[in-house]
Amino acid sequence: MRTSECGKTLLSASLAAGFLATALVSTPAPAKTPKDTLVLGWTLAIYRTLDPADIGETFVDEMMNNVCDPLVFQDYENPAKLVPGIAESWSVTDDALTYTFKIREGLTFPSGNPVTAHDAAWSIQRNVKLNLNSAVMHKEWGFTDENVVENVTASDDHTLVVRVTEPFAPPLFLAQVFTGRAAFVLDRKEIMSHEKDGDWGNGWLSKTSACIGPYRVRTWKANDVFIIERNDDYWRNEVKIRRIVVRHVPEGGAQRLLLEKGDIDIARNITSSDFAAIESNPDLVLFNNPMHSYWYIGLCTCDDVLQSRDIREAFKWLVDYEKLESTVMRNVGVARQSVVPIGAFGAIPAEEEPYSLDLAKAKELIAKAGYPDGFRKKLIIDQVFPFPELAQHVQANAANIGIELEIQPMAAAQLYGQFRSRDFESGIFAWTTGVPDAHGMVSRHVFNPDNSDAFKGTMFPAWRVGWDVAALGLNDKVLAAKMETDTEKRRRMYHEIQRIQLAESPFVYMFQKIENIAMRKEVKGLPITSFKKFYARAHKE
Amino acid sequence: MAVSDRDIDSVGALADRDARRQVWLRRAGAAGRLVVSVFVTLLGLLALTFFIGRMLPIDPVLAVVGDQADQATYEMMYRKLGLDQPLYVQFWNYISSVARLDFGVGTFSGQEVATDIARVFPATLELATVALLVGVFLGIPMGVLAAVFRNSLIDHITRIIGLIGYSTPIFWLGLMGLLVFYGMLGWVGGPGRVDSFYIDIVEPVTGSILIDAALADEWDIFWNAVSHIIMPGSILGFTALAYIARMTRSFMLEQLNQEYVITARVKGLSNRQVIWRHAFRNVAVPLITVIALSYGFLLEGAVLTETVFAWPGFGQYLTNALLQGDMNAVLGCTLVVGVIFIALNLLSDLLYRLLDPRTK
Repeated sequence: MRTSECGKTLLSASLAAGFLATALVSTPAPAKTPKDTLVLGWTLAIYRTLDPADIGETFVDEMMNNVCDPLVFQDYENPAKLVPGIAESWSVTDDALTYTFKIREGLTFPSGNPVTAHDAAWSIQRNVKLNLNSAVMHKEWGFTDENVVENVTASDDHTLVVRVTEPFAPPLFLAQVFTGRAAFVLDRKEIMSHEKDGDWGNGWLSKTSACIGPYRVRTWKANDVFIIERNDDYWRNEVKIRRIVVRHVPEGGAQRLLLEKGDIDIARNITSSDFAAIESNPDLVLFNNPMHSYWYIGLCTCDDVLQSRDIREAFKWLVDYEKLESTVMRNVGVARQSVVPIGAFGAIPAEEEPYSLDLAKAKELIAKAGYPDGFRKKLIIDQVFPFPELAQHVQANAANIGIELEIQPMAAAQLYGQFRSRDFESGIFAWTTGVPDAHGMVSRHVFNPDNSDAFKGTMFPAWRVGWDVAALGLNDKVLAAKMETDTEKRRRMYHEIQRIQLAESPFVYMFQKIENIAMRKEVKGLPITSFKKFYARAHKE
Repeated sequence: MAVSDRDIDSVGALADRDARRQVWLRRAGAAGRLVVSVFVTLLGLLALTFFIGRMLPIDPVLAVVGDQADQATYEMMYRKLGLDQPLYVQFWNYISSVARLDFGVGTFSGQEVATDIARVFPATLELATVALLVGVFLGIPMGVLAAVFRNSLIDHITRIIGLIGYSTPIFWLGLMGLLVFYGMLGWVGGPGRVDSFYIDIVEPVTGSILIDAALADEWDIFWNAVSHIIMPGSILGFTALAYIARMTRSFMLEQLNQEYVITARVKGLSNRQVIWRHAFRNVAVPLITVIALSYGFLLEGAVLTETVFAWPGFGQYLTNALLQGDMNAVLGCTLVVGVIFIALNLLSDLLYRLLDPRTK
């Protein structure tokens, strides 16, 4: 009987499917995270190295700040305030040319080697000599391959002496140079025992940690997992979380599900579509943390049309800052037109920012510049959120006054390649600064030592867009503020720089980034600043 | 001259030896041609990928030094990566390294490419194998039944399932699967290969968490890993199922209309014998190609499935490498994909010979 025999086959298949379903249902319930373990969901697509001299990724920087202590800490409640780190105290000479740090006694590295001023001096020398990603943090302040050994010395085991070539504003210099990864105190003896071909131990240190801090690196695998474990002998405070596991979860929706189920404690890449669900869940907490990062339009003055000041101003009237902030950028970005982010020293208040959406004004400006019928330009952007959304908004408004913007999405490595080589007309870019001081932004965006192509000042966005800031006297103003020791005067100097920037610059700053961190309510006491997260202070209830 | 039996035997032995030598020579020649053709194929694949990769507008130096680096640091890394050399020198250097089994260091992971691939490939192999098992063990019976009961409800269901498998975005399917079976019902594990609690406990031996957990006698971890793989494996298997079921149906329909099937029925053979012993045996040969191709595509890495399920596999690794212009990693992956397809082709040829005497 044909049908019945085939029915048996069908029955067999059904039984197999049933068995599969039974196996599916009978699998054990997933275990939740232990109380002494903090589990984070994050995108770990790219991380190349753990060597502080070469770190470039936000994720690695944040984690290594929980592994290595710098000479000086930014206070976890107020990043602008500096508190002792490996250096228990410091002093500055009246001429602001010599800094002396007293290195804390009795500290030892995990290897057992004592922490000395020689290690601190060597760590800074190594950073400059290696000339990798973090070298710029010292080079910007006059340290060079030639002078760093002479200018950064240990006068004894517990005294570090740093000499500078110019009298920088001490609070600024201390915050910029001694609080971040470039000021981690590394275990010189341990690292140099692994040196290979004069690499200062870079090859070895790229895969491990050799410093003193609340945690030490246990496992790291790109695209998979990063684990740090408690350093039981940590000097600063009792560390309650024994293990921090960072899992690679690239999809925001998947992070939310894991968080809701309690399989992770903190989600770092929550998308705006999930905010409402998280906010309404009593087991979860959502932090909106303003970062010192921007999304902004860069207009290349190398272009015949865009070099017109009126055209550049017209672009600033093409953005509906307010509407975007309440819609597509809700909880993602806060409108900011000044080059100095809210929360940084020297920032002007938002009320002083003049621009809003005004198509008539923009139309008038392009007509004044000699383009009453508009023009056509390419707008290069990154392909990830919110670049396309911002680009489409600007494109639509520009079209209303006759400007045709052709959006060209591309990978970040291509986008910034074109930006750095001045090979673009206009684009939307992102920028992050590492210190809560106006200097962090103005020293790159309003400073351009030489506008010639030959100079290749690729680290300065002002150079990338060909903005001749020297003609406006801005180079001198930025340098003067960098040297000013009177805090109030320095604040006023930055205010003036921002007013000029708002009127003249070929940058249209649109939004200051908001970092969204969703966590389970059991996680308590985790200090979150724009720059660092202090996991050593956290605990779980 | 008299010819003894011994002489005849010796001549016979010589002829035998000669024949054996001929066979051996023929086989050695075939093996030699195979080795040369594999070598040329892989070299061509690498050359093509290398030169196309170098023509991409993505700047691999920026992936290493970051956007904010000064020009001196940028140029130092540019030279360190060998990008200041002419293209043919870069290619020659790369091929020379590969000949020494040195695939270079991945710029976005900071690890040896061989180490990275040895870590991510087993994860994909494990997932792809589960997916293939789902595809084969459900797809083939469905395809056969659909052909046997053509235009019946079973056939319509099979075709609808095939259509859904082809047309539904796997990203959406994955998220919905997670939402329902993990988020709402709690039947399966969430994204990742195991729960956070079990991460980094089992020492990797094969790279397959299922095998490694079993080897380490860690059955809690084994079952936890099963609960994690079952969802992405089934989702991925669903697309394989759609393809395999459709092709099986089509092959079976062709065979069921052949005269030998009618003859078999006239002879009074049972329906099961006609279908499975006669018709299906003839379908098995082309089906091997279909299964091998499916496996090849699954092993290339399903980047979207891996992304949704946070599966640290080959697809994600390759995609990241492409986006960062990390050519060492891209070339290493290209080589692996090339070897997979060549190996699967050879395996299908071998199975052809076993299943179809005419090809011997």
